[in-house]
Amino acid sequence: MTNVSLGRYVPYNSFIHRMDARNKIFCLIALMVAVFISYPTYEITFIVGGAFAVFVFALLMISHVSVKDIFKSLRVLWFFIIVLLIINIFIPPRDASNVAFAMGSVNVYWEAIFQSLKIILRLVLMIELTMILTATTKPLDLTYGLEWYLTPLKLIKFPAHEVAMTISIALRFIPTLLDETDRIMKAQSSRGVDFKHGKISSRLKAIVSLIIPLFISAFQRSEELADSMEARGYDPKAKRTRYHILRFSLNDLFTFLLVGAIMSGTIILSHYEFNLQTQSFIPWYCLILICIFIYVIIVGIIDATRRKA
Amino acid sequence: MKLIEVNNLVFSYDKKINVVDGVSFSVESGKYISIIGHNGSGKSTIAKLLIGLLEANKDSIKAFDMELNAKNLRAIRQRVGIVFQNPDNQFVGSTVRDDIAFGLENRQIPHDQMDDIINKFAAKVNMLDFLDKEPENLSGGQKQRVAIAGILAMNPDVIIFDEATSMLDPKGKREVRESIELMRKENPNLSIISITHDLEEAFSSDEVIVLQKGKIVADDNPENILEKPGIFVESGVDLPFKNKFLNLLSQAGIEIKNDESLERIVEELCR
Ligand SMILES: Nc1ncnc2c1ncn2[C@@H]1O[C@H](COP(=O)(O)OP(=O)(O)OP(=O)(O)O)[C@@H](O)[C@H]1O
Ligand SMILES: [Mg+2]
Repeated sequence: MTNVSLGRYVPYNSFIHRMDARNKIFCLIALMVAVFISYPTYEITFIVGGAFAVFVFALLMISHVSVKDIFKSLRVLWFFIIVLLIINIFIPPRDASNVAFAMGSVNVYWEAIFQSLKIILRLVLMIELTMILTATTKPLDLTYGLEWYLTPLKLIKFPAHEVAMTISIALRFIPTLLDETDRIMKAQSSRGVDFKHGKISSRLKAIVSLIIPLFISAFQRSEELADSMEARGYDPKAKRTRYHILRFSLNDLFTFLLVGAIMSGTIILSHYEFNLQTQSFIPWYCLILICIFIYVIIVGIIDATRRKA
Repeated sequence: MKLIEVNNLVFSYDKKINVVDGVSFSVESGKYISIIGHNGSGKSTIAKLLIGLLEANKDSIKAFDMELNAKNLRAIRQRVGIVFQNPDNQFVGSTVRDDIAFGLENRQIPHDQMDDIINKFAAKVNMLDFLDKEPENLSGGQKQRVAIAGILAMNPDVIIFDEATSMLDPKGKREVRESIELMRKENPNLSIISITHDLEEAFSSDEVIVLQKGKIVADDNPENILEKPGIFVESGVDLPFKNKFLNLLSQAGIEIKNDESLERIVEELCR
């Protein structure tokens, strides 16, 4: 039950790890927007997409996410990719005109392939970007970051602190409950309950025999935890000090500006319908993007070597 | 000096059966009190009443010269800590560090003092090397020691242990007990109320309270309690093996003093 690698925190001290969680959340959202922007032609889409892929891969390496974990995170995508390809091939995009090849009586269009590739690329990048965030940020810092974004909502009586506390406790108890699930499954298996084989109805029964004890124990746990928190003086309404303090450093300011530039750059690029053949803006933009990527990579490398020394 | 005074404490969950039925005792500064009794005799309920997790009848609990009521609750909780049975269900933080900090945050300790306090009390329970470990990577005994550090960091006058070692293996039990002994040595004014099924532990305390169906059937020092084995039969508490053994021996006409070590008893027997 410990093979939950997606979204696992990888302890290390890279400069991405040291970034402020609030800034990382902003960067994630900004980069996702950038990745999801549509461009007028497939050429631009794939040039920008490819650049992003290199960028994201470099970030993954800097974050010390193992290649194994990257592949594991993409495993869930296979099914989706196949479905997507089938749909796009049988129901081609409206502007499809270039036949790539024919499969029996069905024409497979280049546009259909490109369309699928575009969506797959976006999905992969989205998953990997999220993975960078979760791999480099402790769950608790992440919730504090989220809490910070939710703070303005306190004006309309939104319980930002309570929500953040709830999330952090949920995160804290996920491994405990996974262990418990494992234990109950073993206990029920030893009583002859079969979780893997048999008719759907009997498997459903097996799952019920797992879920009910799990719920009972979870309720018991939550009651005891509440008692313990209260006895230690916790009062969600009272003022508390903070052990974790989020710090926005100079490094954060840089990355904040850079990621902001990347996002606005891509928006401009898509908005003005530039064409690869006629516009001289594209090379400049690509150059800027490349510079940013190189900057980030260099900072990462310097950082990594300094750690070692 | 009396820190806590309990006077005719009555409590019922369902308004029909009194789970705690007219209990009175007091906790003096520096005393180590054990509460023993069979399952369901109301021990945990008393612990929860003392720390205000359950509402006691009026004027029944006085702590630090304050009435235990909604107004004084916060002040009293600052001076009484409790360690529960299940090590997992009282670990709030995502790491050892965060868990010890949790109580400090509630007490509004300034941020820049927290690290020192955390280090100091983690060292006291021998957990300094585990500060950044998550609870799933700790043993039960280690988690209970973290819980103790979290309570100690809040500098209480009284600590209640509600079967704090009952879910631990012998090694974990020993580690936790050593931590408790150490903290008593360092702070002789610290009072301890220990709810336990482990009679050996109970008989090493200053005072033993035997509870039966919500009533106190005996409240005395361990030596006097041991004089009356009938209490144990009635209240369904199992005597430690050594005491049972000695009782049987004395019935058979062999008298050996109870405070001898096991080795001495064997020697005595072989003669
Ligand atoms: N939340 C509750 N609601 C209703 N009844 C309860 C509740 N908690 C405990 N009781 C009942 O109150 C009685 C005393 O329970 P308590 O937990 O105080 O016993 P205990 O002496 O701590 O037992 P143990 O040795 O098993 O921990 C029991 O009969 C129990 O069933
Ligand atoms: Mg109990």
